[in-house]
Amino acid sequence: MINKIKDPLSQHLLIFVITMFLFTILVTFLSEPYGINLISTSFVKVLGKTLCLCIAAVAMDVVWGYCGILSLGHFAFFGLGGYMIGMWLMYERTELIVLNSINEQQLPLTPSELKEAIGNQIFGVVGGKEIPNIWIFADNIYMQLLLVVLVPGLLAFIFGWLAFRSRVTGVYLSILTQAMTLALSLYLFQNDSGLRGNNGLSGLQNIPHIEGLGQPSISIWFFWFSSIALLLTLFIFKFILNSKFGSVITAVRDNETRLRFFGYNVESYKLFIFVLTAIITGLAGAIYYPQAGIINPAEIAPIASIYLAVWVAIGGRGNLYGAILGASSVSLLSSWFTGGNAPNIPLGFYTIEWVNWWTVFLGIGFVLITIFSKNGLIGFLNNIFIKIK
Amino acid sequence: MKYFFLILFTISGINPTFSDERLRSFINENSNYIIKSSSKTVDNILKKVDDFNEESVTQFLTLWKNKKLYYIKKSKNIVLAKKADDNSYKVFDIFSKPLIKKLSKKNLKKIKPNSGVRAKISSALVRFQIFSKDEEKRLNSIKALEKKILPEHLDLLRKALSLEQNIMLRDRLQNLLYLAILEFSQNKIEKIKVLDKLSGNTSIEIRAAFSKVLRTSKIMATDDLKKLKNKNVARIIIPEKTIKNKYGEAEPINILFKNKPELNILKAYEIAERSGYVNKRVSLENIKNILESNIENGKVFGVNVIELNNFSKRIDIYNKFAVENNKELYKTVSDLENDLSKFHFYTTYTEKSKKVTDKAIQILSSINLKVKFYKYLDLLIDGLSLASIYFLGAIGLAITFGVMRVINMAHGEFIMMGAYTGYIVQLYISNHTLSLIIAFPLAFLITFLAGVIMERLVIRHLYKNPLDTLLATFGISIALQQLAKNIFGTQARPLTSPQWLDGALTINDDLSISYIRIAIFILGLIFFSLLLFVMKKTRFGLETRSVTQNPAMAANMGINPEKINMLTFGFGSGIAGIAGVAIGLFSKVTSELGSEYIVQSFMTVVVGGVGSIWGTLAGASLIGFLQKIIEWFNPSNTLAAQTYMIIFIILFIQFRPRGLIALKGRAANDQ
Amino acid sequence: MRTLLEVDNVSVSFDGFKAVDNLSFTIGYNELQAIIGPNGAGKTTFMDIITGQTKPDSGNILWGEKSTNLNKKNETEIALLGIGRKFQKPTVFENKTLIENLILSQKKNRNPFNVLFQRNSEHEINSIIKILKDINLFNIKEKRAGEISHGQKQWLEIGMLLTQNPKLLLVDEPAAGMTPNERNQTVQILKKLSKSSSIIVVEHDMEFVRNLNCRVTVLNEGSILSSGSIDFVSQNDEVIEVYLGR
Repeated sequence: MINKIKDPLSQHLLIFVITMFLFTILVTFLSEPYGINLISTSFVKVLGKTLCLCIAAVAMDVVWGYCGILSLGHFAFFGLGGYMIGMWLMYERTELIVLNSINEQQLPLTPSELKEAIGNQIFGVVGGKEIPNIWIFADNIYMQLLLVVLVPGLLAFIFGWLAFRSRVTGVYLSILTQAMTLALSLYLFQNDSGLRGNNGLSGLQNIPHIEGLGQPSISIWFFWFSSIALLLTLFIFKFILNSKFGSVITAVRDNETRLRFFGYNVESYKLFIFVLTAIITGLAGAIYYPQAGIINPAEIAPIASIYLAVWVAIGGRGNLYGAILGASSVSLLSSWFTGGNAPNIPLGFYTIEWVNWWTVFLGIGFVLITIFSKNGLIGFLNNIFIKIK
Repeated sequence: MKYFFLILFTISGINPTFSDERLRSFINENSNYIIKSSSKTVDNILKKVDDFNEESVTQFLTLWKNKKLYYIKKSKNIVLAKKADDNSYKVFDIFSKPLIKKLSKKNLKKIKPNSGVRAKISSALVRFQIFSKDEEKRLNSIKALEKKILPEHLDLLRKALSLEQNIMLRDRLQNLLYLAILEFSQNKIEKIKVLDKLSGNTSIEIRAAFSKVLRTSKIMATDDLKKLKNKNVARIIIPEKTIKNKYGEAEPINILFKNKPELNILKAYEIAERSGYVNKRVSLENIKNILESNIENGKVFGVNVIELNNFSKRIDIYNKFAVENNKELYKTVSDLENDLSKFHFYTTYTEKSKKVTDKAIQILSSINLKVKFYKYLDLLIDGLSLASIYFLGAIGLAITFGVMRVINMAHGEFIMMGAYTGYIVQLYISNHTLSLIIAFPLAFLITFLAGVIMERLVIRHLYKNPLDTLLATFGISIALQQLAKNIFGTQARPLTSPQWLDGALTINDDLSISYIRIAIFILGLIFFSLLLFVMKKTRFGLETRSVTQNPAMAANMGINPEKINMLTFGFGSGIAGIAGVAIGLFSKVTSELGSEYIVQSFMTVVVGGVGSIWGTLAGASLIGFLQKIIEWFNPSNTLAAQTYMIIFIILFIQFRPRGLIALKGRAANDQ
Repeated sequence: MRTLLEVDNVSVSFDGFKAVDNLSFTIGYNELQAIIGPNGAGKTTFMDIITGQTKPDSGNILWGEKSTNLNKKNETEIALLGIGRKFQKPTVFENKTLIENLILSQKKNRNPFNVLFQRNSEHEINSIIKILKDINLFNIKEKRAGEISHGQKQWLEIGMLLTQNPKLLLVDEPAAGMTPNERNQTVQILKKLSKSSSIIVVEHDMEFVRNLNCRVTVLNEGSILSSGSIDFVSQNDEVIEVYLGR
């Protein structure tokens, strides 16, 4: 009775798992390589990327909706995850290209010659040829995968430790996280950042060693990864939120001072959640960017992180399914409306072109949701559901 | 056409003089030398023209130098030509206008003196102009000399200086003479005198002259330092260890600044080789080429190619080959170092006298000290103007944030609205001064209204939750930004400052302050004092402060907090509008103008401490100066400067979580 | 009697205003004491100092048998030593049920990694049920804290403090906003609790303090006016002037 630790596989989660499973199977069945070729490879990629954004949104919801930390920097972790996996993808592929270009009348390359040739290929665009030190593990996928976890995790740890211990809260903290993102993206914009400046890393869709599989198949594989990753993320966070830990972090959100008097070290809880969500966001980025094919510092700009918060707010904060609903619907609609596919609305005296007006309506709609529906779309749907009942 | 005659037209007002005739015949007599001039033969002609009328010679030489002269192939007569139609030219006599005849293209050829010849002509030209009676011409020749000065001008300058009466021209001639002496004079006593006279002069050209005195030769090698006894050695270079300083001396490498050594071991070895001290080195690249050219059936000298994927193996094979064929062995870096340990590398000053170079170093270092001072002053002013910009951008935010604890993410867009207001006003009012006088209050009014509307429609509903306000205002921000894009397009719109704000207050070569920066600074000051006055001395300020401190109590005293909140928000937004006009004057007016300033503005408010005008001032100063100082250390990279700035701010918040100027006591805890 | 807490010559000022001025105070094990005083007497600041929210400008706060100095410790550390505080305004977690509130405050390992996998033993569940009964809230244990009455929130908060087995309880105006009936129950609850821990009650209501029947300290302008039984202090002229006389 008092041990009210809910079963992680609650009813909702079960429904969601089944839905996701059916959806993934359906997409596979409709795809070109494994099905009846009804949806294009690029659309499969869009769906896969959307699932990754959903993961980031779920993490954002945990840190903001449950723990009350409005982080305007989580997309930085997303980007860092992408950069870390991108380094391996780019290095390995360039290495294969360089090795293949050696003919019989040449000596095989020494390790340093190989490095120089790869450096020339990768850093020629920023006028360098030496491989920066941060690429030291780029030839090792396991190390680089470890970095996908470590780099966002460590950045979140250092930043969070500094910010939380000095009791920066509320809007101050939001501004500080925004500044962190800005600093990171400005840093990456430099040519000598070691990550190719504003060129970013490209050609990431070509996965070394399995290129022969072809993009259509690879895209389906990544779609499955994304789908499984989203489910795993949900399991992890559901487990945490349903434990006593979950009760503590919502208490942090509601009254941090009170909790401190009960002897909780509020900072370590915040730090735990901040770092964990950063790591999961970073992992989501590591699955996202091989599907996107390119990553550059503009992706990390502060506005991206704010959009993440907007998705969560529109979907409904404090509800993980709300975050998924918000991220998937808003990001898909945004790319539809700004992609020039949506039909324009002629008003006689003026034609509303969605490419230009979508952002305006999104902004206004967002303001309305913030004022009138604190629980977002999911809260709205819940209310309707209850009324029907 | 075989023959033609010179037909002279006398154009009214210009009477060809007798001496012109002489010059013309002189030119045509010597036309062969002029057509096929070389820097050797040209001196002969340039000497002889001294006898003719100064004005005519000047005209002739100028035309020659500027490649305006033609010659007629047949007669070798020298003329001017102007294209008449596709195939023919109108031909003129060299003395300006008089027309001769039309001539077809193939009969004419352009005279193209080479650069050596042209240089000689220009310096000869100076000779004619510098003694001209016409002040204008003398000034022109001085200007020409200031651009380029040659050894033969030295005596010319001395003579010209002794004759010159105009004080201003005298000064310039004197300066030129100093430079000429430093560069060309062989007399070291004279040079030292000049150096002494120039001490304390910080102009860029003087500094350039000093560094010319301190020019050094290319790097040379010697096996015995005693051999250098009679040379004016600038520095002894140790490979991989030293760098060159601005006086041409050697300095040890500074690891902190990551500077590269002047000479690496491979370059040093090449220099030693050029001096004949060592044999040519076999490089790894050479080895690779030799081995590759000997690949046969996948083997090199009996070894499988696949095995040659490391340098040590390659070197082994090569060395075997070298021993058999009596070739130079491969040398490792430590071998090279060993070989080079017997030799010394050095450069000498091109100036032979050590006394002169020592004096130049002594005086240049004192000049540099002065220059450094001006640079610091310039940095200070730079920081001050950046601080004023940040202050302008942030102060409106500080009021809304400080008084209402409301983060207005759309603040940047209010700045943008102000800038666009200025642009629109200028569309209708072309007088820039007047348009600004109208734009400032208009921008205030428009953004004030926008702020009030926003407060009534949105913010009022969200006072209890600051994070929600942050997000809602972000929604407004993206909507406004896109709206501006739809209305004004993506390209930058001009907001031109009035003429009297163009240009700069120039104090010397290192220190000049643009008037616009001064204006921004003054505007910042006005804002600051105005706000202090409004907040401390007016009823509105009093009511605002009381609402900030205790809304419930204020309401009991008959103050309507809702009204105050609305007005405060409008006021803060209005100030953003005014700041927008000011910022638009020096930066591009685009829809993204505001978002460029928003993060810095937040930082300013946070660093300064919330709810205090003094705090915003302190924050803006700290951030402005700091950014400039960081940029100063790393001038090539403003992006990195901003990165380090933000990292600094994050660390700063550790020690002063409530900013520089913080409220104390229990009231400060409940935010 | 052994001393549990000793406040020794402590002063605090905010921007020149002396909120607490050379104040000394002691309380023993399992002792019930009350502090009264007019508005601005420094009662809340006094509690802030003990719980580490405000650092004293001078003076020491000594705790327990080993006389540990609390000056350098933060709120969390002080809370873990066994000082519980009930705020003037009841602050409970309104989105959680009464049981969830009590589980949260329960004295247990607070390490995040441990909390992640924490379960409650039979014994711990029983002790929570006992506390729920002690504070008369067992019947509504599944309600959300936001839905119960003001007086019940006060008791819930006291209950939350009890789950931590505190050695010292600081109770700020427990009777504020209560019906007379609830007040009497509160007096009974506090008296019962003082058998197992020390309690400092800050109150306005003289009648309530009289019912507590304990040592009373009167504060004014940051320092002590008088101290003793309620009958003793209410005969002090100064006390009558600054407090009762008004």
